[in-house]
Amino acid sequence: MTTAIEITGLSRRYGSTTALDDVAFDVEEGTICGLLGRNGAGKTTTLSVVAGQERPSGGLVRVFGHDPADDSRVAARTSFVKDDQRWPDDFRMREVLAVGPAFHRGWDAELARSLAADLRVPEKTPVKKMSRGQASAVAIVIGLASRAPLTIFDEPYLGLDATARQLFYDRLLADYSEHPRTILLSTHLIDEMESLLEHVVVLDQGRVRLDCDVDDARASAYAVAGTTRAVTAFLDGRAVLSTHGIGGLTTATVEGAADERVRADAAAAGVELSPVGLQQVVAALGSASAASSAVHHADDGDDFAGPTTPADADRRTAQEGARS
Amino acid sequence: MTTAPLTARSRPEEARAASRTAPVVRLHFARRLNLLLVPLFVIAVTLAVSIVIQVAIQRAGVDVGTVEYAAGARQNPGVAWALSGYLVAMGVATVASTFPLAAALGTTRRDFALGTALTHALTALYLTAVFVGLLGLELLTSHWFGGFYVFDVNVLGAGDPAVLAAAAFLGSWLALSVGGVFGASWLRFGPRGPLAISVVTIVVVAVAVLLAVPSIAAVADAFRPWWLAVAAVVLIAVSVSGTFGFLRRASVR
Amino acid sequence: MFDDGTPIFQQLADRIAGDVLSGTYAEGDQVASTNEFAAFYRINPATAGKAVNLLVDRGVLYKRRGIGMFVAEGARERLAEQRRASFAAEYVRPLVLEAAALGIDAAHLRRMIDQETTS
Repeated sequence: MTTAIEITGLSRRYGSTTALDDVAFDVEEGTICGLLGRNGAGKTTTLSVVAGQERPSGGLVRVFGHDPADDSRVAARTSFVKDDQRWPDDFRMREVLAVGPAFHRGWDAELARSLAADLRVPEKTPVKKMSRGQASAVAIVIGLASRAPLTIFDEPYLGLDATARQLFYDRLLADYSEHPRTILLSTHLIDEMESLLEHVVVLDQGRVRLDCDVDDARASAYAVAGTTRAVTAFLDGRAVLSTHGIGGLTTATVEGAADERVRADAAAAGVELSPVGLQQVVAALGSASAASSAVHHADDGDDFAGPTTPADADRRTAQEGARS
Repeated sequence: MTTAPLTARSRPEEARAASRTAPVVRLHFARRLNLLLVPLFVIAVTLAVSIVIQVAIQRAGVDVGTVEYAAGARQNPGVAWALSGYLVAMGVATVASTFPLAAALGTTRRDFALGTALTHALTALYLTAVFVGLLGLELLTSHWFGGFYVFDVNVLGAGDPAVLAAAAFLGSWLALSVGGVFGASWLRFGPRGPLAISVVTIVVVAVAVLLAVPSIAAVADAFRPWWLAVAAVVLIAVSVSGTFGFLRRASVR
Repeated sequence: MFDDGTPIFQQLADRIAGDVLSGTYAEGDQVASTNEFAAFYRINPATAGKAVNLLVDRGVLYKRRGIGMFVAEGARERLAEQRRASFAAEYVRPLVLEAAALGIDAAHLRRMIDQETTS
């Protein structure tokens, strides 16, 4: 498997603000990678640097082996329509369809046309004057129809209704299946988009908090619930990401795998464990109390026993079957 | 884990790097109507206004047939200035409002600067053709059937099509390029950009004038019209490289 | 369609295995391609691929090059065998523990089981 994007020690400062601080992760070619995190975490900045639209203050970024900043070999193979993209005056869907093929060799005119129709993009309205959802639809048409080897989406769903979003996910999956390429997208709608992703990178305050496959990400934390007293006792010495309590009841999200020992401890403490969805993991990582927790990367194999091979999965199922 | 091997794939890409300016030109001309028709409209309006003004002058009792009248009428520079103003504005738009989309579709700053310069040159060529055509029409119709001097004016060569062509081409390209570099400075520095250019220009011109004043008579004697052509070419070159310079560090807003 | 408990590929594999076990897919039948599963369940093709590979490893499915994925001969029996092996841990143990928690003694439990199996 080749690496499409390599990022090492990336930092980006704007005056006295640090948007990105020592960010490092890789994106395998031909995978769908999700960039997750709170607003202001640094997702758009990261995407801009990868797309070559911004220069890093420090660190190394390689896209297809080249520095993406101002390299036409990267630019020709990248599509990145930002969520706050600015459009020329009087630029309508018609112009988009006419100009797309000039920039992207793999542009599929039929796909562009049918997507624009399905997403109900108005033909005569200048993109500048379109609603948020319509403009997002235009960005989606460009992103998908370009078939760019590196396609970047920045919160592509903004303003889209649920039907349009589902359409986008379906078309994205369908086209990606037939024409695999590297797709990097940032999203807040983790519940909705989780199943589309293969790999996730979670950013918080300009730093990488999680960088692994989706399954490992979900297995990287668990939830515990019970009486406040029992839970507090259980949490002692564990990496707590977030807590939520009302009166005598508390739930908390804890970093780590819910392995045999943890389950035994929970049973002893009289608290209940449950798995967490990716949305919860990301939300917990983004909360203030998680700020001090360490970073987890895919190769930190000892930290959590998330299944990575079918053999592991078998073992895990057997283990879980033993759980009461 | 290896990075995607580009050695085999990059050679055709490198060959294609030269043609990455073509998409930029295509992008600018996507809105052909704006780029090509509106200047025509501006010219047409200026033509009409010039004729109306000259009708008024003639009505005041001036004798159209005399050589003095022709010489006086040829002082009218209307069309050149009206169009220049519009072209500067268009130049700003070609850079400021088109660069973000070009960047999104996949363009380097160098390709964008070159592609935009090429677009400006092509537009200037088109306008030159229009001007030459209209000059021909003016001469053929004995100055629009009434002694109205619009294209046959001193600033455009007093009826000489070669001079008119050179002036129209260089003038148009210069106006567009100047607009372009202002647009690029805005992308780089926001509102302070164009302000900075203006200030620098004023300072440079002031210094040049001060230096030239002692020898102003000698300069006036030696002055040749083609100096203007050279100056235009130099300014175009400065503007294009200025555009590239500003874009290099501009963030894509 | 998929919950948070186990990896999605695991759940998909279980679902397909369940279909084989119940006879929805007969032995020798062709099953949907990885891309079709991905599109149908709206999941990443790589995830669907992992599920299919898991079942291939377990001998439930096999691939015919250029044609597609098929249910292997003897897959039902193999699956039933695998599930029988974990039956005790997955079903019996929880049953016993729950009965104990409710104060149902072993004899009573046996009577309940007899009742269920005969009716």
